[in-house]
Amino acid sequence: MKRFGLFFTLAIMASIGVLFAAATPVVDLQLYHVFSFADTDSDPEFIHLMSPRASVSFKSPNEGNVRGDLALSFSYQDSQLDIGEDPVSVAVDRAYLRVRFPNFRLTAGKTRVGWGDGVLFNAADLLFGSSDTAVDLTNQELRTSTKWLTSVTVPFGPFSFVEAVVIPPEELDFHPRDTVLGGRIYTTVGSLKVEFGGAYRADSVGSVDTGKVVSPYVSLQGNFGPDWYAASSVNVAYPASEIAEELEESWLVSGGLFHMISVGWQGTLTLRLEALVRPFGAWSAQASNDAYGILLYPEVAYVPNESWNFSLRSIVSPIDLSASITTGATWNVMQGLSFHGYATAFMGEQGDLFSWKANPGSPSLGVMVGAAWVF
Amino acid sequence: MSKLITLLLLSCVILMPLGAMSAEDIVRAMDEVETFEHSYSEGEIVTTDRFGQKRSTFKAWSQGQYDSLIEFTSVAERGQKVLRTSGELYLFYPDAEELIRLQGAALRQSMLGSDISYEDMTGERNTLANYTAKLLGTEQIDGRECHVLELTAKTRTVAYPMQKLWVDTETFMVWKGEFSTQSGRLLKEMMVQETMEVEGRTLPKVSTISDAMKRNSSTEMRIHHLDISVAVDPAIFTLQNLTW
Repeated sequence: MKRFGLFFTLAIMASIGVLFAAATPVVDLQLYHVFSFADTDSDPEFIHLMSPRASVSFKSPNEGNVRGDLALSFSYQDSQLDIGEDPVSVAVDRAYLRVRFPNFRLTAGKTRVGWGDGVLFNAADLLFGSSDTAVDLTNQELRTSTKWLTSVTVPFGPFSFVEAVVIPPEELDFHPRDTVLGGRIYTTVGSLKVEFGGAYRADSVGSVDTGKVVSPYVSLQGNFGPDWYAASSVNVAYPASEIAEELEESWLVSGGLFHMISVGWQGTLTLRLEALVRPFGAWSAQASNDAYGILLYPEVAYVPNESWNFSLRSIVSPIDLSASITTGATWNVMQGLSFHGYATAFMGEQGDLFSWKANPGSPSLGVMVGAAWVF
Repeated sequence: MSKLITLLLLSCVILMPLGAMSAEDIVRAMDEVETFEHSYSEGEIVTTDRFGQKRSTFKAWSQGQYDSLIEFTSVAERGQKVLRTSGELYLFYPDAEELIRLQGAALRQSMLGSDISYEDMTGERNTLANYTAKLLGTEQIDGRECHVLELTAKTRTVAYPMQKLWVDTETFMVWKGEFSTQSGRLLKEMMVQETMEVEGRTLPKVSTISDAMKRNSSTEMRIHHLDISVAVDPAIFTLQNLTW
């Protein structure tokens, strides 16, 4: 994947001059001071570094029946982090072509397909995965990973469509069995959104093909005052002898509530609560804490006017009573320019899913202050 | 003959009060001016404060009573779209390929934090469904004779419990608005700065909205182009077009 990615990145960078002529580039420049404190068993560690990141996006004009988008991101990791990799990284975030035919739409390239609903937890997100807790709560969008894929969408009504997706293997020395196939139907029934589908992939241990996995899912969305959404997915494995074990390990149920409240004549308070449930997961605190039976994601955001935004986000593990909490403020001060401040703390005991005692890559407390400019 | 003249004079006296417009008639005429079967518009929202100006540009399509699509064209929001239909709001964020369906309270939210709500972008106005109207008299605004109306909210679901509107006696366009709390505290003011003639109607081209509680801050809504005779393709108001 890395060789392929590097080749593609270089090819794209070589064509940037052409792209400048065809599309208006949009640059998102982010510069943050990062202060972190790690409470270790030995001496506490303090780190202060700059975390610069930039992305350049070239979008074709929204005209005609063909369009495309190319987005590259550049980031720099300070040598203090001693990550053992090149501190400068370049990545292709998006690179896709989309064609509108009379009866269907074709998308090919590196992009994302959004199945189901959920900001953090979404059991319907079979192709990209939305069940882990390794996310940066300071990002506006929490799930943004993309993959090289081809998809075809066929509408059958104003608010209904069928979608088929093919995701080829990411390694150069791929085997066709590693290709992932997916499909879904998206429609509305009364005031309810109904979405169902599935993914197919070969299952393997190392290079040994061990069977096939089909993962069906269903996702619903509605409103009873607050908006609500729910999804469930499970892996159905072949050979049949492994069905029960696979089902227990893979069954996911996610759900969420979302509500907006007007505060004053211009302010808005948004409330969100999401849950991820593994019915056969661990329901008591244990050392191997990566598959707890329930995780929660509460989010509160207050936007008093078009210039300010205050937020509180948290991932809570009720089983071991630990949490990751991020609070932030954004000031949109001038056209495209915004100042940001975030503080993240991990609350919990050593061995919990989130722990004040620092783990590699996650300090006890972190503060980010900086600016972003979109131009 | 004299009997006929007397009868005509008597009829005029009896029917004269019926010719004078009631507050409800004025509100209906005001809503009628702003109601289009189809529309396509291009415009911008310019917010000015002591740090300078922020400008968001958009294109908007509307169809009938409920359907509207807004596509933002300014750099920071380019490609973001909002599709509003009866009882639903779909948001599309192209960078994340994210399609979000909202219902309920989200329908009443303002666009880009401005004073323009998604409901304002749709075809039909029905002010009397949410407000009771009272005619206070007439006043001149920039040399134009205006009815002065006081609107009081019937429900709590509207953004402004009290409104005072100055409605042109000839064109029924709202020249000025004052929006207050239930206790009468002024929240914001709207003033039309420039008008345009579209298909025989006089409509606002440039409107200024100022926050009564924030000094040196105002929002200007500028409509650069408005076409209300355009035949809008119904396919515009579909998920396929929203996610394009």
